[in-house]
Amino acid sequence: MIKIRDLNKTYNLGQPNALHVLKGIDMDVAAGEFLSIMGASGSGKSTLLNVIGILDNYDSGEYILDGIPVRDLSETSSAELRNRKVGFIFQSFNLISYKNALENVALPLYYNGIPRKKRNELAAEYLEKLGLKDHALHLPSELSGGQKQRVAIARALISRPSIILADEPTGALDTTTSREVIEIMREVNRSEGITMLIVTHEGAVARATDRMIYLRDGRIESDKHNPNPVIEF
Amino acid sequence: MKFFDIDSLHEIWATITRNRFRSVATGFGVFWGLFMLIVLLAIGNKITQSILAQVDGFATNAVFFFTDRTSEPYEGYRKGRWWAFNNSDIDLLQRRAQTIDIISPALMGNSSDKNVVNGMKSGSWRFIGIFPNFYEINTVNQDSGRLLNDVDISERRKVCVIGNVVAETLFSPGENPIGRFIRINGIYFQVVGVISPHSNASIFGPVDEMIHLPFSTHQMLFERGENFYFMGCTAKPGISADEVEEEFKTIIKAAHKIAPSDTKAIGSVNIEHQFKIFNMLFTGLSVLMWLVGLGALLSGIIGISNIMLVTVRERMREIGVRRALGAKPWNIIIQIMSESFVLTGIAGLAGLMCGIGVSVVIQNINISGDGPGNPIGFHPEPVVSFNLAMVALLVLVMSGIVAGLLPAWRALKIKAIDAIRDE
Repeated sequence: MIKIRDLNKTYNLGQPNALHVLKGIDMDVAAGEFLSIMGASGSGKSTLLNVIGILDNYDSGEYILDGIPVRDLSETSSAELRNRKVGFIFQSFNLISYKNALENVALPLYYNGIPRKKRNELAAEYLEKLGLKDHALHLPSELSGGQKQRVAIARALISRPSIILADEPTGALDTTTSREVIEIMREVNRSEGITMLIVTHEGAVARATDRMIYLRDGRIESDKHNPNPVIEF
Repeated sequence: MKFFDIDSLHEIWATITRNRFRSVATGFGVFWGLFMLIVLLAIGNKITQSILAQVDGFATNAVFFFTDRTSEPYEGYRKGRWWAFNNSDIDLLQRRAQTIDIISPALMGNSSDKNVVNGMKSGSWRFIGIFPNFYEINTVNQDSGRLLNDVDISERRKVCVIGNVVAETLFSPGENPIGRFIRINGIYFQVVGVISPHSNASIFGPVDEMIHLPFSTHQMLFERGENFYFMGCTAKPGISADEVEEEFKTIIKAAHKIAPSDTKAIGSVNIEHQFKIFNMLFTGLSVLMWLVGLGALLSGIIGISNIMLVTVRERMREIGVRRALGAKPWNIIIQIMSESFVLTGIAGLAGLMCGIGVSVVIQNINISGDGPGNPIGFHPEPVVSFNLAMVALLVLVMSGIVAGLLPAWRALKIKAIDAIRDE
């Protein structure tokens, strides 16, 4: 699913203030995994997430996503690849404020050229799966934090991507809601079989996943299987 | 690639209405710009028409000549000599002049107190003797009856064509002047036509207060001999009035023993020159109007562009999210461009409509104060011609595109990772 070999990334390459963020990452993720990347701030976890999500490029090494080498893509083709292969969940939800829940969920399909009727049907279906059937026509401002994140999850799911990348998905939520969101992600991972990668600095979130990767100073410090994932909020 | 579907329209509308006051204030710039452009052009058009109405009815290639005292001695004649055209000059010009199309002499009659009489009614008016083709040089409106013709000239008929004011004064309402006899300076003439001015322009004064007689009749009955002091000519097609002026003067000077270098002996009024001056004036006016109007429009476009830049900056995160969700650069360009396009379009169309509305009002204002009706009878141009409307629309479309270019380019520079970073 994901194959990363000796991945290096330096900001301000060739300048005096150059910052070597990723120092030779090797990583493999199989399809359907539920894993987390942990690390302190500045460890390079966000940069790694951006590279995996094709939002940022890298300097050397190899990154293959679903059999497709991701390297020197044009803006247009990286946008297409992102649209089809990657779903994003953000800490601050990043829903579009003037669109209702249904329209927010349908947005990735809009950029995929799916006709309006079809994508609204699909969006309604996914909202129902996430228990938001009655909130389909609500604006984000009329939803609670947990509901917003569920809309965001539905939006990440709708294009049936190969992988969903979640950047601190519980960062802005209280413990009860965090638990709810992690449970949903777990459930989605199981039922839809979509690979789920969570970037977090919270140990509790990481311990809820099957595999925990620790990053430190741009290197993988440890990569452990978690035989007993627990949701302990 | 779809440019407009329900979603993009909905999005555009949502962003425009999200900050109503700002959108309205911004749109007003373009509204005002286009409004000013249309109104200024309508004013320019109105001024042009009003001035043209003054000179309408004159052949644009006409030249009028009149005799004056000589200013140089020549062939034994002293300077300061009085001289006159005579009937043989007309034949001479008709035979020799290559550039002249039509010629008409004009002989002014003397007006005295109550010189024109019909029964108990009378008035003081001037009368001139002319050739029928005089009407080709200075057009008149034929109200009733007929104009003078060649037979009137050759048979020296005692007929006259009277101006409408003359007719109204000498005859009661409902009375038909045609066929009636009026007394001019003691001699009876039969009225054959009533005319009114085609425009305010006339070389001998208002046509409506004048009486036209056949030139030959005038010379004979009022004992004016063969002399006259005024001639009007037009140039042949493709020949400038300047050439007519030069050839006329050369021929006449030779015939009357006037020094070829004498510039004062033959006076002339070149209508073509007047028209050229008018044309330059109109061109200058129109250039000025366009400059001012487009200037106003440009400031409106800059306003929209500016506010779109602000909007793009405010929406950095949104645009970043869209990029992350798979929006291609092209999608972002289309979105921003169409937003500015719709804003410009709505404001511009409103400006266009209001501009046309005000233009209609301007068009109907009677600047020249000609009094009741429209005695001039010129055909008003449409307020805003089809061409002008097309040009304005084109300008509008261009404005929308130009206004959106910079903001779209700025939006393109937004990288998803910078925009969605939570720090």
